[in-house]
Amino acid sequence: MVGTFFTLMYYIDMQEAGIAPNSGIDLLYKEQLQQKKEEKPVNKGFSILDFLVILSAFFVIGFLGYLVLNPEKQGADERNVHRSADVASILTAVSNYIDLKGEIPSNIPINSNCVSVGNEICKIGPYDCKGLVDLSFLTSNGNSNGGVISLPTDPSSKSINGSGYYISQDGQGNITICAPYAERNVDISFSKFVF
Amino acid sequence: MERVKLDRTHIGLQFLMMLISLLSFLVLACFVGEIVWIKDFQYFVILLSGVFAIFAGLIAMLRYYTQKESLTFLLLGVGFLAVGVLDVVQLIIDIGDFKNLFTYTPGEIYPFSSILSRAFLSLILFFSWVFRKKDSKKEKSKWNEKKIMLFVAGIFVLFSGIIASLVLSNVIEDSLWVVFAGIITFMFLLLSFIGYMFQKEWQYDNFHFWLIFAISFLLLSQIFFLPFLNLEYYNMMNLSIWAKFFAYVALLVGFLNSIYELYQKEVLIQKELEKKNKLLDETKKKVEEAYLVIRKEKWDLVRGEKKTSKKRKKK
Repeated sequence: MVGTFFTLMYYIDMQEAGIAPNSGIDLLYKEQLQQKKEEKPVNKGFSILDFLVILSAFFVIGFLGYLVLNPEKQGADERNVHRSADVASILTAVSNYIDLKGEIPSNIPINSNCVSVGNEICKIGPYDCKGLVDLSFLTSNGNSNGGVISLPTDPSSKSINGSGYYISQDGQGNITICAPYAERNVDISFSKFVF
Repeated sequence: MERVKLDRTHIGLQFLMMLISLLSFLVLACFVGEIVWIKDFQYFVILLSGVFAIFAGLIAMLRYYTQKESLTFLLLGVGFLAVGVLDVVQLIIDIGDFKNLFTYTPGEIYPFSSILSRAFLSLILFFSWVFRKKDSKKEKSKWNEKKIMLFVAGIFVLFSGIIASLVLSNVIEDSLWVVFAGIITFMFLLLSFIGYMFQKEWQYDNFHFWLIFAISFLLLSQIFFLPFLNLEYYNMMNLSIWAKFFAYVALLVGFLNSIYELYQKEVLIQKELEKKNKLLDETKKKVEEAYLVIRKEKWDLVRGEKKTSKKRKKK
């Protein structure tokens, strides 16, 4: 039906143009008509693609703005500073205790690698310290000459009994305390030679 | 020959792809804090970038000498060859293996040598836009191949001279100089980006889209190079070098695409020519047939007239 209509239109056009059918000029004319048919109407409206392009551009600018502030990194940096302070305070308390007692407590495991199973410091309080390092002797309750009031815990640690900080000694008088949950590839590990 | 605009959907998809690539890169940058990079990642990517830049330069030269339609390709070609060399030189002066060749400690002049390669590239891209502007206005350019070669060589010698003077002297203590040079480089890149966008050549030519793609990644690289983002220094440097590498790859794709389109255009022209020749032959045949018909009719007419005149005579 549509084909017949176009054929009819074609012959009417041909008659108007005064061109004999099936001549060379006729073939050129046919080609031009075909091109006209193939030409898609120019869509001047606002398409979904335009919308996506604009949206992506806003996202790019937004992410750049986010990276300028980077609240995630800011938070991680703050937590890392907190961890460093915690590790330093634990090391100072352990060092003071050793100075007082003149020996390294036997429950600090001997291990060259600080982050090992069994090296995690146990939380102080009603916690099960099985398989963890119990440093309750450092608190004021356990140490009459003053110690830490409570042992700090890592801000990102999800352990029920563990503090998230690890302790080890190398057997030659060096005590190391580390924070393996430190964020953004920061290495927080402090060592001290006690004697 | 009338220039044909590319399909609107095609252009839209191209820009969407570019923005999604940029977005993916930025999303990666958000999570980069927990990534442990491979050892000597920077050196590896700089080496790859240098090789890609030289390769892109050669392809651009090939494109220019295949069809000398725009001096932009020549400028970009020679420029990229020089950028490749500067990148490799930067690598050589930065790694420790060649320390016996120089009188400085490796790594000492790292940001300075890096910024020089970037600044050189931004200048080349900026001048390529200026030349393209002249080309599109059909102005009779005073520039020719020789002048462009000398121009690029001049900038190259200037930049190499700065590197050499930095290596030989010890006045490279203030890193504020790097930030200042970085901002100037960023401004040149931004000008090139805005210039190419408003020139709207990307509506007609895929190469210009790839050029804009490359400039946008170079802009991103420069943003990561400057100390304005809240990221660790080594992360920013790694991302910056990576973005620069992506820019080189995009430009290489652009040059290859341009060469492909050139040959594709040749094939189309050949086909069009064949079609036109065929139509011409058919028209010629029809004209000959028409001529024969007319001649026959004429002869018939003449014969008919002769017969009637003979009959008249007999009468």
